[in-house]
Amino acid sequence: MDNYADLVSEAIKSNLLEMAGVDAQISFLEAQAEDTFICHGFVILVGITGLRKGRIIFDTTRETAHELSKRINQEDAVDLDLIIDTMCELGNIVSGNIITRINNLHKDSKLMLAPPSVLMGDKLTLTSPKVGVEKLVAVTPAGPLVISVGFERGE
Amino acid sequence: MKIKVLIVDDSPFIHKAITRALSDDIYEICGIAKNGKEGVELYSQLKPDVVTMDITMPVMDGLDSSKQILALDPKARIIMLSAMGDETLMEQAKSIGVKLFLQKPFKSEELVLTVRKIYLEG
Repeated sequence: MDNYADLVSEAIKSNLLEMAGVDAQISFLEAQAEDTFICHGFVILVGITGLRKGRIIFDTTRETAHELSKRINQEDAVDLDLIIDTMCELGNIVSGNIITRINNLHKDSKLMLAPPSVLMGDKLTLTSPKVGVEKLVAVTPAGPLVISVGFERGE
Repeated sequence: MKIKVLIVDDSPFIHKAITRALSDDIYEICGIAKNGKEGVELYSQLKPDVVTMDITMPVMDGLDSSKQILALDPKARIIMLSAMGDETLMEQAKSIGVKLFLQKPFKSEELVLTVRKIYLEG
């Protein structure tokens, strides 16, 4: 798989700054052949379609999702519906930026996004056994956000 | 006279962001459609000056909705707003008659300038 870590890092850093006004510190996590998440409580899952199939996962705590939503909406109080919608849109926008950068690098890839889904709950484990991933963590004043970009492994 | 803007987007977060960006007295958010089909219906009823159009929406996407609106009114001023901004998609939007394209996340000033530009250019 191509290494997209820098491109993912640039997209998440610039989008968090523009949307939430937060300066995220990015750390790269070790690339893995299998990606297993012990989720922190609030997950956004965005499917990738096109020449190569994959998915992007955003994992954070409910508290961080709440705090990020307040900052993004510039409101002191946000209800759960708005938190879900805001985090979905954040996931969609960051994913769209990542995919756009990849499409502009590889003109024939024609990657598109599926609508985002949200998973909420304690003790959730997500496993993607058939993908190779780039994984990083964005540490923000609102709390940490883990991002995993995975594409199906080639034959 | 106010510039009437129709928002076509399935995200309440984007409705708020656009409404906040266009809070100046010269703009009026005349309607909000949550999918492309509603967008076509509201365009016919409200005859807005400018439409902001998302691409990925349930029921009918933004490209099909734009096609139908432009079939009704070839002079419709449509700004496509999308998280995706690759050249192929922009060319596709332009080929059906969409005049301007803005990639999300947009800054408020960018949206204001884009709405003003498309309105003045007609």
